[in-house]
Amino acid sequence: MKQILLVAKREFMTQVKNKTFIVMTFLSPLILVAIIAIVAWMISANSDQKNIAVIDHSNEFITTLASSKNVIYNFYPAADMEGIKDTLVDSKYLNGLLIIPEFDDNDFESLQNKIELITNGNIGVTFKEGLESKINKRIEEIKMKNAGVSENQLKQLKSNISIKTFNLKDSSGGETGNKTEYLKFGIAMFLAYIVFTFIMLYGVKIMRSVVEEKNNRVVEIIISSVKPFNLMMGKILGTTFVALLQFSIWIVVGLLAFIGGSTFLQSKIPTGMAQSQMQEMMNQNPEWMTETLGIFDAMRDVNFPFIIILFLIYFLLGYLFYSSVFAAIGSAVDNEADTQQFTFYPIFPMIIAIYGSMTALDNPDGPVSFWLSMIPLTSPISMVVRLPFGVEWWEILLSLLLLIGTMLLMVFTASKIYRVGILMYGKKASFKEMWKWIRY
Amino acid sequence: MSDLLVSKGISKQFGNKIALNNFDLSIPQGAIYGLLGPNGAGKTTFLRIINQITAPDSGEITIAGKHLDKSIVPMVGYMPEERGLYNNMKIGEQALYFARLKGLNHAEAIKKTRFWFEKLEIMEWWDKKLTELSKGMGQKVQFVITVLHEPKLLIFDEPFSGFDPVNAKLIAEEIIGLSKKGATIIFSTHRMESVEEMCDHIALINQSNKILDGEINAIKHRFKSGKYFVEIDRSDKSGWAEFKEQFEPEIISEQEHSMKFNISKPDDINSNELLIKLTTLGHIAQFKENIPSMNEVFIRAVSEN
Repeated sequence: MKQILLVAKREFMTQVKNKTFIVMTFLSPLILVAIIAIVAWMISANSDQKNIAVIDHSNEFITTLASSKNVIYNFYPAADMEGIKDTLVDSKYLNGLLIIPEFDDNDFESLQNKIELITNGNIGVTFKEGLESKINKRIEEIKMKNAGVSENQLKQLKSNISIKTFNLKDSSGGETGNKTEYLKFGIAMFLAYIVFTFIMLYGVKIMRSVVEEKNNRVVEIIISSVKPFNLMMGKILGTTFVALLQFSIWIVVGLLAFIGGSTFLQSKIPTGMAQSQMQEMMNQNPEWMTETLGIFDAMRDVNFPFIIILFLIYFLLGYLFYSSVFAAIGSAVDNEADTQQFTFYPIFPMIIAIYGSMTALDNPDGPVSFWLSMIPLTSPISMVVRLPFGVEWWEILLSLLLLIGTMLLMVFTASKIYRVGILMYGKKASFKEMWKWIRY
Repeated sequence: MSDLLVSKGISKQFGNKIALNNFDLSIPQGAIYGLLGPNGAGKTTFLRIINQITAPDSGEITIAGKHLDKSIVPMVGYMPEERGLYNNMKIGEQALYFARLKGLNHAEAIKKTRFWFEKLEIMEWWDKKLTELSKGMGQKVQFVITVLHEPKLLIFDEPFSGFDPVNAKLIAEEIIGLSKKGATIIFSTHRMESVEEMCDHIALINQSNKILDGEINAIKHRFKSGKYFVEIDRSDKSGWAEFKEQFEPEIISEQEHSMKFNISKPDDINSNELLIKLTTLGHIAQFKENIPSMNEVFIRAVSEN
């Protein structure tokens, strides 16, 4: 145990003192913020305002095609048609011309394929579909009117039902809204990506460190003092501490930025005014308020201690499992270039776990989710995804038992490969050879 | 002299390849022991077994009466054939790290590292990284790391390969110094001439088997041919024809006033009587018994086996 700690300490110190660590720790949050900002900017830049000219021979769509923030409809008389068509060709202002022909109230079939949209560029599928549904809705209204349904009756016919769902198995037993579902999915995917990224980032670090010792030939001196198993575990432990330090720094920096940012904003607004402004905002924009309150409500529905504790357990077990795989790979090759051939194997199940788990939103208790969260190769990610939606205790227990068993077996196997591999110079091992090493 | 290390019936097989076959060996306390044999004979495997890097398939080794386990680690210092240090770690920190792994506490580790760094005059490298040092400097550090924790048993695999002559001499002197202080030394090498003069005991290994072992002088004695090398300054050639008839010398060189030849001593006379016979031929410049080199011993031992 003392030796494991000595090895871990060296591993920790060397990695933390490394310039890459310092740069990565302080630069990558900035890069992340920059990426988010760029993506957000691109999304907003992509959805610019559209100007559509409309020539409506039927005079039925004036109210249907009302201008909004994103689309402005301008209605023109039929005589302007040719002129608009000419301007449209080179216009930067105008995006399209919609022509709706006159139609017979009794013959809507003839309207099929008669409505034209002339554009001077790619107008976008979403916009076209939105326009189609608006026109269809209007035509349905006209049809109903023709059938003798009055305006009043029409209003009464419309309904806007939103289903309230209650989950009896949820500890709170309360109502679960759409927002809660989305929030849970968000948390789930966030945690899953953390597990994945962390294992990849630090697993590869362990692998590199093993290859380095092998390359330096320093390994033979070390294992004349330290058992290979202790050396491997020390490396894994040391790297774990590096990772914990890095995440702690990120969390602290994030919190400081948050607190600093909000105090800065508060100091800008006099307290008395802030309240009246809030009141004003509530009056002006009640939707926004309910939405925000909804998210807070949703957060109360999520069992955070349960998720966090199990997340940490799964995370640690999965990390131990995969990092011992990475250590074994590092021991079996001679230089970093050769590792690529093998790193595919541990990455593959993790990717399956991530994408397989996306189905969890549709059905968190479905067979795909269930089996992925049982198989130890994928359970550290897939079970974490299921956690926010609530999982039966026996399922968690079974999956944990399987994972612990496989993890111990993997660490044991990896240490056997490691033990032989670190002393094999000058050749890249095949799977057949590694199998032989396990049985030595 | 009691034995520090005793190996009984050690066998090790890698797949189909036998690396060591029923290997017995006793290394006396305080000896400088040469483990000699060609590449691939099994020397390194044996050293790895002593260092608990590899486990034997059968047989057992004891060091100072103890079986191989964790308690042995501080007693052994090992410099493997494949030398190695961390590139990105300061020299002083590395030495401390290895000393701590050998079981020294922090204070002891610092004290002893300082002692050796000062002794080899490398103190100013403490904060340097390996990449900043020359190869020869690295070798000094490697040596310090091996002996730092004052082990009872020091093992050097191919001890002088890669060392420049100056460093090799320095290291050899340090090793002899440690031996005088009571450490037992094992040299393992295929270049037998390189350690021949330093060793007092040897074992010859060939193709996974020990061929012979024991005190170096006794072994050489056993393999000597009974031939003597003679150089004579002669004034005339009288008596030479008769002498040649009787002893059949193998002439190495023959000049007007000087002769060199090897001669087999007949069993019925001793070396003094032979010397008296030789004095009749002229002035004796050299007379010495031919002691075989380790290489010759090895070749003969292998062919006899």
